[in-house]
Amino acid sequence: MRDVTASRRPSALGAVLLVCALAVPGCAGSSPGPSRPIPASAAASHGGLTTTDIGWTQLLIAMDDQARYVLRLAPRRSGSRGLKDWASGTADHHRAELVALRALLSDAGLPDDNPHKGHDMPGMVNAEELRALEAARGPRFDRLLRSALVEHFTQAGKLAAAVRTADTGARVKRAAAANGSYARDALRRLRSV
Amino acid sequence: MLRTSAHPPAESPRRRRAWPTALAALGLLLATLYGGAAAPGGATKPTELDAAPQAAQVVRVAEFLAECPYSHRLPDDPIVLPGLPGASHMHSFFGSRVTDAHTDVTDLLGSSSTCSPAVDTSSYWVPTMYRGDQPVEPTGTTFYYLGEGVRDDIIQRIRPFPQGLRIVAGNAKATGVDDPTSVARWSCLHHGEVNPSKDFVNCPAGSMLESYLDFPQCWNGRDLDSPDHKSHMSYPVNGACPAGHPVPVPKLRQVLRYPVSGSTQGLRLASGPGYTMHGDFFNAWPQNELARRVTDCINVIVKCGADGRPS
Repeated sequence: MRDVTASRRPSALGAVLLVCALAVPGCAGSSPGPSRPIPASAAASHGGLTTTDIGWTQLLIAMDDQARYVLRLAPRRSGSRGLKDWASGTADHHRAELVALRALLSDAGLPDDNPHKGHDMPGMVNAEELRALEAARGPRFDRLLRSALVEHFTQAGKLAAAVRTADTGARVKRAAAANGSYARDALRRLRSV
Repeated sequence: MLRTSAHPPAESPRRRRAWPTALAALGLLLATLYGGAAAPGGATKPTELDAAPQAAQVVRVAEFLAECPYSHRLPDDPIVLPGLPGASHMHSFFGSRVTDAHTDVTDLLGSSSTCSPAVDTSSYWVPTMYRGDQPVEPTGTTFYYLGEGVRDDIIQRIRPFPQGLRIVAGNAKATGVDDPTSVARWSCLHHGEVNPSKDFVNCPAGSMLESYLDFPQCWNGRDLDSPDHKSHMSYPVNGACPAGHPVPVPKLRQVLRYPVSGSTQGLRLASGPGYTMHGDFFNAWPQNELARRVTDCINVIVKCGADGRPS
């Protein structure tokens, strides 16, 4: 077939049609020609979760994992009793929330995957900011911690609001509503310590 | 010369030379077998003309293309995080001018596009490149649709992508240059002597940093997307589509050229180092325009331009 030319195209196409009709797997079905599009299903649901359900859940796991890591730096680095207590309670909440989020994925038969690892993500500290947090102590650490967690909870709130109107299932809608509510409360308490 | 033209398949043998030794040896063997067509520097020239006199003007490469300059930047991803604006790392979008987190195929169809041809209202996007904190957008943005990668008898039964098909290529969380899931390659325009790499390469002054990324070209024939956004598509195996992904579709080759040369210090993608380069494609070609190009350019193995006519 390497000698196909413009002038020979009709016969070449005829041969392709014949080959298709005879049994080539990619040409299966009643399709009359090689260039006819094949109807496809929209991938709306995976194990009961929509694409947005999966995207939000994976993103929150990535955000919470990082926030929990940062929060757990506080006992040894923060200079503020109030901030240490807030960080401790918030880290506990994140631990419980992570268990629930991971259950959402595993119940749907999906792997616990972090597609955002290493990325410069809204609501998360980047590698440089993380190094600064790990090196800081006292008031400087407290300032960096507050900045990172304000960003985290502000982003969580925005995502929770988007989930309300997005193509999401009931379980994720409930989880996001609870997450958004906790984010508002955590921000309020952070500002008071 | 080959590297500035619209002959992207010419790049493949060059890139192979930088692969591990075994592949390099294979490349040399192939170059030897097709020695008569070898271009200076050892790259095999794939665009040999048909020997038949009446075909003198037809280049026997299954190809058409769309030139789609940069459109806009948003921290959105309508494939991975649909409906969640501001949730993603920063993306640079090409093609349709309307793409955001809420975009579906119906939004893309008939939308304004940066592409030539303008009928291609598909959306293409990559992680934004930064030099320090400054975004750097590519000034060369060609999206080739190719038959290569599968045997000729399979090229002849390549089907158009279904409308709304979403494909992600490359691995946004690749761990290093040895990570086999990192499939994008960086090279230097006009400077084949600089070995291509999965990470950024240092290009001589006057050159441009370029990224090549081939998308998988075998479809499972059923799903427009999948939970990991990858498993409904597959790369071919031994020149054929594997049993689980039996439908051959055109291979999308994304070629981006960035106005970057010299040190790669401070250069990064929104997804991390150079080896995290990845690309997203959301098909919104009008069905008739895509079908015509697949029939007239791909199936019959003829090189076409942006208009989908033999060039």
